[in-house]
Amino acid sequence: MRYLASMETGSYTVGLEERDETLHVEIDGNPLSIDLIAVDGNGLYSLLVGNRSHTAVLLDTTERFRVEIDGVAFDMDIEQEDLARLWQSVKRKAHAGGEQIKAPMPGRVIAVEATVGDVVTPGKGVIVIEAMKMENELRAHAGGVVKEVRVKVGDPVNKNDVLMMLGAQTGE
Amino acid sequence: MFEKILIANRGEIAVRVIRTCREMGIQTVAVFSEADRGAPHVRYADEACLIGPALSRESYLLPENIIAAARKTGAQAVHPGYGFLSERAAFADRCVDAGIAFIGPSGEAMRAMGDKTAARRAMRTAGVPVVPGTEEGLNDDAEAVRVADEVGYPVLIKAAMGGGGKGMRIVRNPEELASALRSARSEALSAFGDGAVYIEKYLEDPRHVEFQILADAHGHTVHLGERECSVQRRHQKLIEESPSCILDDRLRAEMGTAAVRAAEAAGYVNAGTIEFIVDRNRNFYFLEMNTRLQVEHPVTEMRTGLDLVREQILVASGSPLRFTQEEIPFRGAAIECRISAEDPDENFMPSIGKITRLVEPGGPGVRIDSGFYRGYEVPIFYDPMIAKLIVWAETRDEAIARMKRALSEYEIGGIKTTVSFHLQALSDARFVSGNYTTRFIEQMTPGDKQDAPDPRIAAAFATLVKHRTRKTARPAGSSGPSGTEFSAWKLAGRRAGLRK
Repeated sequence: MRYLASMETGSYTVGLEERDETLHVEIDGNPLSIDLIAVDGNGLYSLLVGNRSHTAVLLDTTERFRVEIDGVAFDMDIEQEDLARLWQSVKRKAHAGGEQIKAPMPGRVIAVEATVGDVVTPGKGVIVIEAMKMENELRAHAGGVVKEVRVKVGDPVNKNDVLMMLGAQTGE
Repeated sequence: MFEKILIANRGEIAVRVIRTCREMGIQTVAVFSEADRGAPHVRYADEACLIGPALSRESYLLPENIIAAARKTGAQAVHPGYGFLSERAAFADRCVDAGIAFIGPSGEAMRAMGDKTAARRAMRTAGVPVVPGTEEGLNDDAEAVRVADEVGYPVLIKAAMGGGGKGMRIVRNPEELASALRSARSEALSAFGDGAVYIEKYLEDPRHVEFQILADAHGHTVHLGERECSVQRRHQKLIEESPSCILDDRLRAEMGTAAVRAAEAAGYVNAGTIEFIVDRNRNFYFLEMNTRLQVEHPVTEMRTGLDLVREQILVASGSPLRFTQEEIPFRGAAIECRISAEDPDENFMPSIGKITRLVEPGGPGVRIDSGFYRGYEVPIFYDPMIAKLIVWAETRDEAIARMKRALSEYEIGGIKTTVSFHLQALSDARFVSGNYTTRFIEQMTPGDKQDAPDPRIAAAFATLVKHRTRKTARPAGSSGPSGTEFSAWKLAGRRAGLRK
């Protein structure tokens, strides 16, 4: 079975083959000597690659695969290779829908720093929420043009509420 | 000696105080809000009382609920921890009026030091250097202009009745003074109920060095050394260490003596902290006094071997100090990192949720003061700090290496924490050199990625896990000797290794 692991830094083909009751692993055609066991049944694994020992943690699989190797996090999509190409084109269309700014926790909106039509660069603060005794500024990741602002100052918000929607900068 | 103490707090400090009480054979009473029913301090205590709903102002901040719980359980003393009611003079008074000992200073001492302008006056009289500025709240704008000109710009407008950055404004030139005064006054009024402000010289790029003091009710006051607390964000400390790199023995002795004089001038009894500000010419000035046990007290404990909570209880029960200034041992270097449920990659956004995985560091010289456990749900109602990691070593360099090692062992799953921030801070050249000020965080350089693992390893790991979760039916006899579900993962590499 061949999978495609796609990360920001690049994509890798991971081949898994069961032969003689063992699982052989190949990355981009190169065999890897791997030994993997689950340690605590809660996402913590011990991973041996050759003789090198790594701590591997499965962090999140809800949207993408988020793992940690020796404390460093990696985000990726993993799909069977033949399906991967199909998904790539679907995702390209989905991303064109733009970024959603969501509330990470319950709180209250105390400032809205962008209005419809504004161009928001990656990292720019767009909404300020008050929660847990502090002010927290939500920032855009991908950025874009503000398409919709769904809250105003004083509104209470719940976790995962979509507060603002950004879209592509050209067209639309 | 008290037979029963009520701890009027929650989280890690409640656990901390309960631990010492247990060692001393003192019964403990925990108080908890509805949101804290599952909190560890409830289980650690001998008795526990519900004192209100989740919001602090309806539970931990209500003196009458705390005192009622003390009465109900027959507690003879109350330890207030830090924050909450620990510096409310009225609460200290009410405890005493109710016949309950308050493990801390008197309400009078709190009032004397809580009024910042009165404190400055008292320090001046005691010969403790204070930051140049006014000693009274400002009467009008004309006086403000005069003082600012006298003291010299830049100046700092500060609230007379509170801290934490509220009611504070930096003014760099005379044109900005009037509007800064207006907004500082209104912020102080809403935060502390009193709009009185005063003016101090603004020291650029200072270091924050504080001294721990301890005084008994028999006239003995000692200092227990300093703590360097300049790593701050929004006036909240994140990393503290001792000794401070900016102090030499002469300056340390001078500041220590000044700290003791300051405490004596306030008629202070029990544990407290004198905060100094040190400018780049190594002039030190009294900033304020904290009339409580502080979050970072373990740093002092690691260097002196003392248990400050024990000393507090002894003092409150009437015992004299068991040591003189000369007898206090100072050894090695200690560092504390405050672990908070915040995401350092998202501007320290609070991260609430369930702790799904917890592995705590250990080994020599490593200490954890924690208020959570695996399975705990971090609540949104309280301070995001969930634990403190403290290390001690013979030298500062060894302490830094030990802290980085301990941080890398610390696994907290289910929420984001500031562990990665601390690793980055301790690797920063400025921190390692000891040459940093309160601007450290804004000047931090992004961490170098030379230790980042090969992403292909991450790809292989994630793929194997995904592949495994696709297969639900396993052929009979596939469990290997270890009995784990992953016996099929005794992969080619391991067999090849054995064959050699």
